[in-house]
Amino acid sequence: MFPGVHESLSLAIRRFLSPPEHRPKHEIEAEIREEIEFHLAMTTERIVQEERLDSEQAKSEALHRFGDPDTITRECTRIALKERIMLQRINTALIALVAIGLVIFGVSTLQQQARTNAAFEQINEKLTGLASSQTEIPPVASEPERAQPEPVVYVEKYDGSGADSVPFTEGMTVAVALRAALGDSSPVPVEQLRVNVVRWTDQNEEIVVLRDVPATTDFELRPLHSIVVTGTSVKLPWVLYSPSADDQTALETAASRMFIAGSEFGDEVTVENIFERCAEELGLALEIDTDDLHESEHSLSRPVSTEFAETLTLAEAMDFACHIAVYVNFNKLLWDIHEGTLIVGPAQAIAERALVTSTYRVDELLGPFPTPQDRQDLRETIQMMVGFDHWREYGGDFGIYTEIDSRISITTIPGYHRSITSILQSLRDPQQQYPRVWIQDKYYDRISEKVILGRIDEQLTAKTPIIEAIQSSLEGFGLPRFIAFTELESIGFKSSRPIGRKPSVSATLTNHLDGWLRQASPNDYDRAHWMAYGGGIIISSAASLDSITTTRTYDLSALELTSDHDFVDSIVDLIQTRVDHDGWRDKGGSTGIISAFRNLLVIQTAEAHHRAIFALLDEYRSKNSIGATSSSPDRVVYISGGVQNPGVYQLALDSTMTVRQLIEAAGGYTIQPDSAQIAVTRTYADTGASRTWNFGPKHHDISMPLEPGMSVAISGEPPRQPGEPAPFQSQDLTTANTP
Amino acid sequence: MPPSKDQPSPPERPDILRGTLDMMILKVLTAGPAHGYEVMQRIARASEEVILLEEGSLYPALHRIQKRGLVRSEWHRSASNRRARYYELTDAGRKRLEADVNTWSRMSQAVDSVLGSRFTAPEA
Repeated sequence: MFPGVHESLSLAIRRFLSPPEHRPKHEIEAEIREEIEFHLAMTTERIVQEERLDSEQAKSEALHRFGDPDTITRECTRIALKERIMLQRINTALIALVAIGLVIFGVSTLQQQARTNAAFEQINEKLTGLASSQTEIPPVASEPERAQPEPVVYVEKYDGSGADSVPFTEGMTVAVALRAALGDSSPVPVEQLRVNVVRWTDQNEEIVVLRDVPATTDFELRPLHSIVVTGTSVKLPWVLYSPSADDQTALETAASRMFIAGSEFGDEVTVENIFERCAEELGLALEIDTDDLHESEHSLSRPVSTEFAETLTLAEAMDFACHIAVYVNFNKLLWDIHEGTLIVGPAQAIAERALVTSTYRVDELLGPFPTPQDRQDLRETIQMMVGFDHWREYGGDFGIYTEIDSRISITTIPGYHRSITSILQSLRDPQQQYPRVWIQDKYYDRISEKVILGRIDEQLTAKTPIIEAIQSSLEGFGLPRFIAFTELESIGFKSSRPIGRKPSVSATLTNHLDGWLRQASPNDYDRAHWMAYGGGIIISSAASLDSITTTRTYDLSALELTSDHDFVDSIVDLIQTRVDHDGWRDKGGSTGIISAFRNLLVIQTAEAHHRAIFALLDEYRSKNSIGATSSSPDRVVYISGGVQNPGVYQLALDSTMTVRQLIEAAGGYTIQPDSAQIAVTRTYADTGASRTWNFGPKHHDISMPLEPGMSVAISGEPPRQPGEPAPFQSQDLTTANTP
Repeated sequence: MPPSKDQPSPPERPDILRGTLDMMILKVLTAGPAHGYEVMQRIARASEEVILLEEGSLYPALHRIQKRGLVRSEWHRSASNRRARYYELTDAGRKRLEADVNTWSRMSQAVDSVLGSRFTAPEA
């Protein structure tokens, strides 16, 4: 015998004699899936450790390296069942032969019944015996008993630690599973948590079974259900900065008592007079320290107005005085109240007298299981929005930020503590502080009402100087008389120029103000603008008005069904491209700052830019309302993340557009195409439930047809080739984006 | 579905000669039972990261050689306390490995001989 032939023959005989796989197909498949899941989990862990990716990215990368688990599962199942499939085919063929044989013999029987009775019965018995032996194929030898996959459910905390599996038991409830997974690690009793219950289909589709329900629900879990903790039903500890009782009283008085100049200052009130008067009213000592400001940068003796208004509170008057006292806004003047003293000066001067350490407990804001990303975003939001230049860790002079669990310890000046408190409150409850309906400055609302000048037109003629026309029209409407004209000399503003023609009675006051200011300005580049600020109206240069910033929080959940980082980033890009293009600090500008915390954007910029941002988001929202669903009459779809032009796209009535075509319509990928992870989400109007289809890099050519209301989110790696990323193209979302 | 034309080609990996994958799996299992992930790691380590398997291709190969009786498998707890399917070499697998290694050595020597020879271009 030739070498090897004996071995090959013995293998062939062994294979021929080996028992066919007799377990149900779904059991075999389940085992193979579990085996592959184990492999992916191990690879994910290794990538997290070695490549420092977060768990989601690592999971995606592991999947990328592995290939399509479904295809591999099918291939392994086919191998496992190969003999059985072949035997089934042979079996079927034999039964068919038997049946044909029976027919033939039946015919023969009719023809030769008399002669062949005995023979027929003999043959028939043989054939029946053959058929029954092929119908049931007993295992040749019993295999050793194998361990079956244990049924499990998963518990996910969304804190970046991944999902914990818990052995499934019949009748298991959410609370039981949570107790088993979390033990004592939950900051509140598990019954007080709120959860989503999710299940995954074989096609890796996520189906939300229960949305945001208390953990006490009596819903009975099934194997492979996932419980995702979303929050708590109870209020977690929440402690913010609180000044001393006396300082708090003084602050409340400053915010509520009206400023009355009195006669002691004569006809002219200076900036210094305002602070003196306020300190007196509040019963506080006054310390003004402008040593850190260059003489040319400020003037405390600057006159404000002979008619300095009694329409302002003490706090508003001091805010206003701080602003107009400083010529160059690199170093702002601030006021603060600390231990019975009203302190006025730049931040560093206040810090020399009043540096306060306060501990903030933000458990409720961060939720029961905060992610490292949440903590980082919160830190950045606070440090960017408040005292940007003063944090010690970035080379500043006094601000210190430290964190332990859900406690934040901050050392800074009292006024900054108050600002931080305000931001944290807006983040915790954006609906209350900045609802989805835009709250404008109360004075701006009145000015911009659709009122016409009809009832005061008698007072204004073509020869009325512009400055008088402005004062007259504002006063005529009972609007605050406190009007400050600042920084107008530097731009050559001609306030005595006549308005030229009698105002139209059909125009609004806003239209007239804008028109007159344009008329008195030398050109469009050096134009004077107006803004409502702290109860007064400031008319000044654009640069000066831009330096008066306010901080607002925008809730992006009103815009998009999902709030992933890519979507938030695309909205930030949209804002920075369309509003105050050159002003954003992270783009080399000097005023605007944007920071994101989950699906909230905190933006610090001039009020005029806030208005433009709101209008932009409102425009986006009108095309992409939160209620957009499969029954949306708008027939729009949304795409966000790694494409050139994310946004809203209109579907034609008879559209057969696919996901791939939408990606192309949006200008194609800005990410590495072979790393693209695509999530298509559809929300159902009746139940509010949503369903997500996830596609990996191997499915980039997605032919899935789109339906109105669907959202497509693209993520992936940045392009491998170094070079400039494609710029975001300014576009009109209502028209230009429509493919 | 075929990839579109604008897709870049995948990064190059050293190709594994057809048939050698089974032999390598059998070889690394001589060190003791291992789950699929460990098999892949052993091959990568032994080859000093030169041979990086297409991870998905490993499992059909494992199931194929199990079907041929060269390995058997059982479920056990892994070091991370998760259930994992461990593969173990059978006697038939050891014999097959021995035969395959002999064949491979002969072929390898033969290829080396061809590559090490000096040839002159035949005259036209």
